[in-house]
This record gives sequence, structure tokens and C-alpha cells, in this order.
Amino acid sequence: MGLLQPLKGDTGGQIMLAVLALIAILVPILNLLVPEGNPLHVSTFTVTLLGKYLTYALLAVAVDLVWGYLGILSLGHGAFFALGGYAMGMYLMRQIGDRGVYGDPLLPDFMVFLDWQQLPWFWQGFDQFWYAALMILLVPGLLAFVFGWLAFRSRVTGVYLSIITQALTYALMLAFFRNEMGFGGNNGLTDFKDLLGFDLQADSTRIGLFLASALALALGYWACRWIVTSKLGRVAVAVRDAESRVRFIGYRVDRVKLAIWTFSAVLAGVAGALYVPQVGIINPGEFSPLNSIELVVWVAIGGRATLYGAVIGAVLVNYGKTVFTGVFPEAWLFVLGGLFVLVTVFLPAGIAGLLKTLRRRSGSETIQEASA
Amino acid sequence: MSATNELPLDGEPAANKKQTPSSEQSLSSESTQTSAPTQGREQALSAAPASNSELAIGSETGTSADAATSSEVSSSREAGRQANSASSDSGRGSSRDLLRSDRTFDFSGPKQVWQGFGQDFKELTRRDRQFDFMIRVKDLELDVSHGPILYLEGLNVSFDGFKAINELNLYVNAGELRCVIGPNGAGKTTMMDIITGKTRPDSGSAFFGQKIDLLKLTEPEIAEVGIGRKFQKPTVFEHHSVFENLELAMAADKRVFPTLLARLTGAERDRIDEVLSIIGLREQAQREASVLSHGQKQWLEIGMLLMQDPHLLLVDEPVAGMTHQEMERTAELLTSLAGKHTVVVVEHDMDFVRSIAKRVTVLHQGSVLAEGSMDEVQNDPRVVEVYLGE
Amino acid sequence: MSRFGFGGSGSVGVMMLGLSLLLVTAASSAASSQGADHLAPSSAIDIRVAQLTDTSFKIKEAAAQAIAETGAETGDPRAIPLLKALLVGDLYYRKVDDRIVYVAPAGNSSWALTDALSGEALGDVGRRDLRKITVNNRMRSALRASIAALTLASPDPQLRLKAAREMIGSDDPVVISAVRAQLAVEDDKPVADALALVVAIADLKQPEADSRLTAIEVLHGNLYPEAHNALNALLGSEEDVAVRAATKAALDAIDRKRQLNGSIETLFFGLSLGSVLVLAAIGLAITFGVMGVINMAHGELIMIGAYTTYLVQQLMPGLTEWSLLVAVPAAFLVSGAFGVAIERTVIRFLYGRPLETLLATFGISLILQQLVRTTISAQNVVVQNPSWMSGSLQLNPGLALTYNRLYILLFALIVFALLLLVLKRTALGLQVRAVSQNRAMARAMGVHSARVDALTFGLGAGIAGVAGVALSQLTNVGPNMGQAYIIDSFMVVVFGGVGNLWGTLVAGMTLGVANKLMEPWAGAVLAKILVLVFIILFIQKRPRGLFPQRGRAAAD
Repeated sequence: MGLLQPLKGDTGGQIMLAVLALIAILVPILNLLVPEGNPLHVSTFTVTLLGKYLTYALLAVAVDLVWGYLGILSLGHGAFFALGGYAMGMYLMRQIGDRGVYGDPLLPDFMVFLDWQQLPWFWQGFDQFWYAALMILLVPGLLAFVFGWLAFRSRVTGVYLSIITQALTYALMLAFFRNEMGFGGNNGLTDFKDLLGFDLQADSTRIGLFLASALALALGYWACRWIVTSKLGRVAVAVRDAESRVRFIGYRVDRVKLAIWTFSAVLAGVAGALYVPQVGIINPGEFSPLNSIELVVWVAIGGRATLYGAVIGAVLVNYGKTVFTGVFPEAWLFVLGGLFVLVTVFLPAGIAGLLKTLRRRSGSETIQEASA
Repeated sequence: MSATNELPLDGEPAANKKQTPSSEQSLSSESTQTSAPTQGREQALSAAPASNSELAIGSETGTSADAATSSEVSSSREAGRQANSASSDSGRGSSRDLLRSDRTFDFSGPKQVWQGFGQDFKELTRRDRQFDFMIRVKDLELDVSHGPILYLEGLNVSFDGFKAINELNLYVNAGELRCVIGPNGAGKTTMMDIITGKTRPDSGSAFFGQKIDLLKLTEPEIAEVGIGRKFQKPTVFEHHSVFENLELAMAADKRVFPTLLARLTGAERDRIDEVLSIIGLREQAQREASVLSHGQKQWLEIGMLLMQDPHLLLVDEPVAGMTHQEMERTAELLTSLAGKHTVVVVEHDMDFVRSIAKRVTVLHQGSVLAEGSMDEVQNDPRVVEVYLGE
Repeated sequence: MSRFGFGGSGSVGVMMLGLSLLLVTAASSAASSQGADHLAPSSAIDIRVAQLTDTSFKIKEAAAQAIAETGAETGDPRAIPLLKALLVGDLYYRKVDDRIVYVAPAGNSSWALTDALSGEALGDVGRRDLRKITVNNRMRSALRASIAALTLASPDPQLRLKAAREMIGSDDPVVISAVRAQLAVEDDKPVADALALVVAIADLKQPEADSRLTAIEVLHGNLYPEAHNALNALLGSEEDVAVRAATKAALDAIDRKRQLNGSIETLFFGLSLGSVLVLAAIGLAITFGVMGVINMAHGELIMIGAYTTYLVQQLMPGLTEWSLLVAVPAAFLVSGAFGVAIERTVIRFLYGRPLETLLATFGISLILQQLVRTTISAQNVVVQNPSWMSGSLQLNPGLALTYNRLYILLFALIVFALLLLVLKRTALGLQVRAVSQNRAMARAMGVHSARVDALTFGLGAGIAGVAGVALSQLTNVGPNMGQAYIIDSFMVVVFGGVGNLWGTLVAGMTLGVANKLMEPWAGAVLAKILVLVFIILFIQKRPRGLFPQRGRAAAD
């Protein structure tokens, strides 16, 4: 089967997708059909939390694609995530219509509050879902394209590239904090009411968003696998390992990078767009360099250049965060900081690498047993 | 096309006093034609290597005679060029400007940066500018009708004051197997870096055939027009299998989307198998390149070079780390390639050089010290001095 | 009566002042004369001082004015402190004997008394035994004028200048004539300028156009804000065409000078910001440029330096003036020790993997932040500024450079020079450069690369700590302060060219000045964004910064 071709030999990915499918089937059933008192019941809060993790996982997959396979350590992927989120947020703001606090039929509350008279040009069109959907893909994609075109053309690599990606997201954060930018400043966009006519507070909408996130993750994962198993994927890894050598055998390294980088940014944008309706807010904090670095650690913990490792890392770290910030809020930063150090020093291949060695070891044992 | 293209020629005959990488000097001047790859291009280069034409070619290629014949000569070559790189010409001049400004500003202080920006901006806003990315490299045709496939003229490169290449002139004929020897630091590797676009010279010109200006192309473009290189230190893709290494090197459409959609055909598979047996790595085809021995990596690099199927092979120290038998096989292989391909070998091992070389060039301190058959070169007192004097 | 006696003495100015005061005094003291005159005076001032205990403000006012007159006449040095104490409410009298005293707290709610006239110590008493001599607003303004007039006659030019400044804008003819008189004999240039200004501003109200023109001539290009205000006011009311034109020209001249001042000020602010950037970035330039380590915890090492300053001040209370001198070496050692510890426990496993060092040190930065939050406080702490850091250097009436920024600029340059010296002239510097260029070769030649690595990282960290001391004088000290600097620091290093200290200096100063130049029209945040965007574009153009390392090695 052509469609399953990219997953051939990817045991980890197959297991991950199977688990994802299982969760996608079980969770709605346990939420909608099992009554609330039952211990098997999954609360809507949990559903939304899981949905959030899945969008993080998609973001981590996007980062792993460029870091693991192309060698670009992006410290600015949070920016693409946030831009996708803002595009969705703008659509959701326009859907509020005259139900806002000030009841203005056209202007979102924060614009009324700032005493703006009309909708800025860049808010036009966001009342249409198709337009917003297009922007979710286009805005992060275009930014990544322009940025990448400039950077890769002049062969900015390694640490320099990482630092300017960080500068990019930092500059965007500062910009979005400004009220004059027209994106709600400090507070960002919030108080969303409904999406495509579905009430965002309703359980069924929550389930729908959860399923959409699961589907997006599966599709995004598949697409990334398709790329990395193609000849282009092999060229990408070659670029990661010996960039100049790839040039001498005739590949345009800058264009290879640009294509994969832009695709990765679009994936991050989609993840952001699915994230916003589930958490109900998007603000400039999402652009913070801290977020972008943190998500690199998800990938590092999961194991880079495996894709499924990124999913594991994102879900585990965020689950840990949820647990820790609930129990010992103070300890979380110690734990996260410790993870950064431990993983980079002692576990460079991450959890996926650990699993692989364990499997190989047990595999060799069975062979030995068989031969004995 | 002609309007913009002809103007500098007609208006300024002196423009023809350019660096004609003609073969007069090196190839016993039978071709009286200027045979200049740069003919009729532009003056953009003329500023830097003004003294070049004298040094390199002798003054007969100079002004008046050239100017007189320019119209006929150019008309014949004009026709050829109209066929291939026709409309690109007017833009080429300016693109050369662009390259030059890039180069100068790389070696200068902050003040030039701003000038560099300004110049770039001017370039971008010129109406007759044709952008480099609009010119397909495929359209460039290798023209070796005058013999040499590689013209290097008046090249200079310095690193922080150290002259790695000093007024280097080198011509290699199509189909030749040429060995380049020289003591450490003679500039052998730097010369290869210039040919493959890794290093840009401070001045001089480098042409592939008569029409392709290597100094204007990027590394992948140079690879695409048909120059392949094996590095001194074998650099293979460590995380790919031997098979994949060859697959990546294989001559194919190497643009992004064709690469994304590429699937191996039967013929391609056969070709890879064939090369695998030539380089003796059939057994290791599915193993990661990182586990190969140093000698095997050398072979893999040679295999990758074969897969590229280039017109010109630059082979830097191919037998370092090889056993005697392997060296013999390499010698056989390289000799068999010559004729159909042009091979330039840089090597330290004199026995190996003697076993393959018909013609040897000795580099010393960045320029050619001697050239001829192995015997001639070995008996040249200057060469002896350089080697013994060390 | 004695008060008629002093008309003929003293300088002309003082005499005129005295006369004018006399008129007021005569009128106001008529009512109280019988209460005052029957006391036998030991001296002219003493008798008036005694009258200050009266409850009537009128009598007190008359007494105060008489003290001023007497002081002016006799040059009695007790007059100015007395009047000043009276003005700010520091003058008391003892209930038992109405003795006028200065008081100072002596602990246990008791007060140490000093006789205001004789300076004799009178022992401690309780608060109840004293009564404050109160003044009203009318008296306050009269007192200020008297003090100013008295100080104008002071032999100290600084005091005279201060007095003259206080009189700018005054249109009291009495004051003006006193100033005029002083101006005629004044030989100190700044004081004379200030006095001339007082006179000129007053003269703008002269009925004759010529006098106004002369006054405008004096105010031409004068940078005192009062001059600008007065000229502006004149422009609004003036009817004479010539005077109007002169006023306009004078105002334009002021504006030009102000613009120049503004430019200098912007440059100064820019260099000041630049010096902060250089301080923050220079340690990073060492760890990044020399060792190839991306130390994301650099900001936190700065923070540790700032907290060290705080702790030093806590440990030596009352010695704020000296605390910074102790804090600089302390911060260097504390941050340096942290740096060595980080290098030994984490970084040394990661050499040659710069991106991994980035992640690991980022983890360390989170841990350090949280460490400070849990051990000290999540809130910002207060770091004292020594008094020599406050105040400003007055270059001209419209331009003052604050000392703290000036010192930090100097400090940054000194740190830079010292660092350069260490790297160029010491054995450690030689070893650092050797290891950075070729680790294997350096090791082969007997350099303990592990020790050099630790010391280099420690040096970079120590300089971060020193930067923290400087920053503690400018900004809030809190657990998050490091994060604010880390990205800027990286920008500076990358912009300047990695491994080039001069590049860091030039880049830091350039970015600082560029930022401040853009701020007026773009706003602080947008200016910062523009600088970031500029650097992003710049890196595309020159991937190795302003002053790149070149050569064969750099090409790979």
C-alpha cells in the first residue's frame, strides 16, 4: 500500500499511531457515553488537556523534522505556533460579533476599549473560516519562507541560526505586546464564543477539537515520515551531517532547507490554530523565547530524529508539568532545568534512543538464547 | 538581446582587451582565434586583472588585432551563444558586478559593508538586470571545441596575507589525465576549492570549457555542469548506507520537488550495483558508511564521483590509506576513466603518480613551477630544488 | 534706635536691600515695638532671635527680617543657619527659659539641645520641654528671599550661584536691585551669568523697547528653562516689531542649543546603554567566542552578581558608600565560582557540541532562577545606591549627565581594558587562546586544557557577575533580570563577530546608540524590535559579524 509506505520499518511510529487511534476512539466514548460518576468517565477537562498535549506533540514533530533531520536547531518555532494561533484567534474574535462586553457588532472588545473607529485592514476577511484557515497556513509559512530564504541563502548555520531564530520570536513577542499592533496587546485574544457555529464550551465541540488534533497529529506525522523516507529526506540528513559535501554533489542545499523549514513552520502553525480554541486564549507570551526552547527539550527528551520520540517527549513533559505545577509548583523549574541538563549530558538519544538500545539488547539476548 | 549586448563591444573596442583564456601559451598557439570564453562579455572584470592579459597570454591577444577581428569572431560565437545563453548576457555583466562586490566586501571593513548594500540595491533596481536564479544552469553548454576543458588564469587567493595561490595559470585538455604534485602548502587543495566554488579567488578567472564561468556559479551549479570532486579527507554521509551514499550522488534531477518524488528505476539500481562492484563494496551496500574503514571510505568517495558521472573529475589524494593492491586498482580505474572523462589527480605518492601520469604539473607557492611528462618534471632542476630543499 | 544705625554701611547692594527691608520691617514691627524694645539686647541679632518665641507671625516675621539685615550688615555667620533652620522648621525654644535651640534626636525619645546663638550644648530633654517655632507661608517666602540676599553676599561662589539660581524669574524690584548691585561687583563667571539672567528676565518687563532688547540680547541662546519661558511669554504679549524679531531669534538660538544638547544627551544615553550591553555581553564573548560554548545561563550569572551586591550591602549596613567596592570582587568570585562549577559538572561533557551546551545551560539558568526564588525571594530586592552614584554632572544649564551612568560607562571600559590585558598579556590568556585555536596541539604542548577550560569559563562568568554589580545600580534586581539581557547579549556578540572582543565593544556601543537614536520617533519597544530585525538581516549579509575571524580555519 502506497499510503502506508512511509510507516514501513517505523515500529515506534506504528505503535504511537496505534495508541493515538485507540485514544481517539476511547476518549470520546468514555466522555460521552460513560456517566460522570463512573470511575472510567473521562472529564471534558481531561479531554481538552489531552487535546492540548496533542497539539504540542504536532509542534514537537515539526521541530524534530528540522532539528533531527535537517540539523537546524530552531529556537523560534514557538513563533510559527503562535502565529497560527493568532490567525485562529482572529477568526474566533470575529465570531463573537456583538456578544462582546461592549456589544460592538464589528470591532472586538479591545479595539473598542482602545477607542478604535474601524477594523484594521489585516483583520478584514477573518470572519470567513476559509480565509482564516488559509492564513493559518500562509502566515507562518510566509514568514518562515522569507526568513529561511534570507538565512539559508547566506549560509547562516548552526548556533548563529539558532540565535537569530530566537531573536525572531523575541522581536515578535515585543511587537505583539504593543497595543498599536492591533492584536490585543498584553491580553491577547480571548473570550471566544464559538467555532464554525459550535459552542466552544460544549462537550461535543471539545471532543471534536480533540479529534481534530488527533487527526492533525496523525496526518502531520505521516507527512513528515513521507518526507524523511523520500530521497529528499536522505538529502536532508546528508545536509545535517555534511552540508558542504551535499553541495558538491549538486544539491541546492539552501532550497532543500527552505522547503522543509517552511513545511515545518506550516505544521507548527496548524498546531497553534488547534491549540487556541482548546485553551481559549492566545497572548504574546506564546512568542516568548522560553517556550520555543522548552519545546526543543520535549524533542530532546523524546529523542531527536525519530519523530515519534517528539510525540512521546511532548506528551510526557507536559503531563509532568501538569502534575508538578499542581503538586509542587516550586519544584517544576528545578525538574525542567534538571531534565535539560540530564538529557543533553547523559541521554543524547532521548527516550526513543533508550527504547532502541533496550530492544536491541533484548533482541540480541533472544538470538543468543536461540543459538545456545 | 543584441542591443544591450553589443553596445559595450561597438562603443568600446578596448573592451576586448580582456582576459582571454586562450590556449596560445600552453598549447603552442596554433589557434589564432582569440577563443576567448570571456569574449564579448563585459568589462566588469577588466579592472582587477588588467595586467593579467599580458602576464598570462602575451601581448598578441591584446588590443588592436583583437579589435579588428572582433566583429567576425564575435559574430560566429555570437550565433552559438544566441542559441544557449542568449538573453542572459546583459544580465550576466551585472551579475558579475554583484559577485565582485560580494567578494570585495568580504575582505574589508565595515565601511564597505554599506557600500556593498548600496551596490546590491542598485543592482536590484536596474531594469536590465536579469537575476541569476532566472538562468537555468542546464542551459549552459560545455564547449571544449578548442581543446582545453579547464582554463585557470591569473588566479590569486590570500588568507590573512598568506598567498595560497599566486598568479596561477593552468590549462587542462578534455580527456586528459593530469597529475598535480607539489610540496605541502603549494596550493593544490585551494586550487580545487576554487574550481569547485568553495573558495572565491581575489582575482583571476576560471572557465569550464569556453563558455562556463566557474566564478559565477555556486557549488551545486558547478557540480551540475559536470565537475565532480573527491576530497582529501574522505567525507561520506556517515549515517547513510553505502547504497544510499551512491544513490544521493547519482546524476539526476536534483531540484527539491523531483528529489522529493524520486523513486529508483531499474536502470538506476543497475548502475548503483555496477559501481558497487567497481569499488568493491557490494558486500557492504546496506551497511552504514560510518563503519567503513578509511580505505573503504576512499573507495566510496570515488564511487560517488562515478555516480555523478561528471565531465571533469577532481581527485584529491585518492590513495592515502590504501593498500598496494588497492592503489593498483585505483590507478587502473583512473586510467580507464580518462578519455571519456577528464581527470585531475592531486597526489603525494610519487610511485602512484608515475604509474598513471602522462602529464604532470608541479605547483609551488601557489603557481605552476613546471609542467610536462613525469621524466621531464623529475629532471627539472627547479623541481629538484623545491623537493630536496625542503 | 539701633536699627537706624546701619544705613550707611556695607556695600551698595546690601544697603539698598537693607533699606527696602527696613521699610517693610518698620511697618510691620510698629505694632510689636513695645514688646521688643524693653528687652536689653546683648547684640543686635540676639534680641531679634529672642522675639522669634512670640506667637504672633507678624512679630516673628519682623524679627526674622531684622536678623537678615543684621546678618548682612555685620556678616554674622549665625544668621544664615538660623534663618534656614527657621525655614525648614528645625528651630525650637525651651519652654522653661525661652532659649532658642537646635535639636537633634538623642535616642529614647529624648533630644539633644544646642543653643542656636552660642552653640553651647544644653543637654538632653524630652519632647514636651520644647516648642517648635512655626512659620507661615508668607514668612517662608520672605525667609527665602532674605536667605538668598544674604547668600548673594557670601564669599563662596557656589553658594552665590545657588542663591542666584533661586532668584531666576523673580520680579520683586527689591530683589532685582540687589542682584543688579551684586552683578556689578561679581567676578565669578557662572555666578555673573546667573545674575545677569535674573536681571534680564526682570528687564523683559521694562516699558522701554531698548531695555527689553538689551535684556533679550542677554537671553539669546540662554539654556535656563526660565529664559525660554520668559521669552515665550514675551513673544505672546510683545507688540514692538523689532523686539518681537529679536525675541524670535533668541528663542531660535535657544532651540538650536537645546537640539545640540539633545543630541549629546542621546549619544550619552546610547553609550550608557551600550556600556551595559558591553558589560553583559563581554563575558559571553569569552565563553562563546573562545570556547564555543553557548552559555544561556549567562544572564543568571549576571543576576547572581547583582544579588551578591545585595547580600554585601546586607552584611555591611551603614557602609553603603563602600559596599560597591567590596561587591565588585565579591561578585566576580561568586559568579566565577558558579561558572567553574557549571563547567566542571556539565559543560565539559559537551565540548564540540555547541547546540547541546545551549540546551544544558538553559536548563541551568532555570535552576538558578528558581534557586534564587526559593532561597532569597521571588520579589525584587532593593539594592542601595551610594551617594556618589547619585546626582549629576552639570555640563551646562540644559545638560546634566547622571553620575551613575557615567561611572558605569567608565566601569565598562575599565573592565574591557582589563580583560584585554588578561587575554593578551598573561599566561592564562596565552593558554586560553592556544586552547581555543587548537585544543589537541595545546594539550600536546603541556597546557592543562581542562584547567584552562574551567578558568576561562570562570573568567567569563566572573565578568558576568561584575556586570551584575553595575546593573544593580541601574535596574531592578530580581530572579528574572538575567533573561532580559541574554538575548541582547547574544545579539551583541554575534553582531560584533564571535571571538573578537573589540567587535563586542563596537557592536555593543553601536547597538546602544542606534537604539537610543530610534527611540524618540519609534518608541522604546519598536526601537528594540527594529534593532533585532536589523541584526537578523545583518547576519544574512555577514554571517560572521562585523569583524569576522578569517583564514583557512574559519572557512570550515
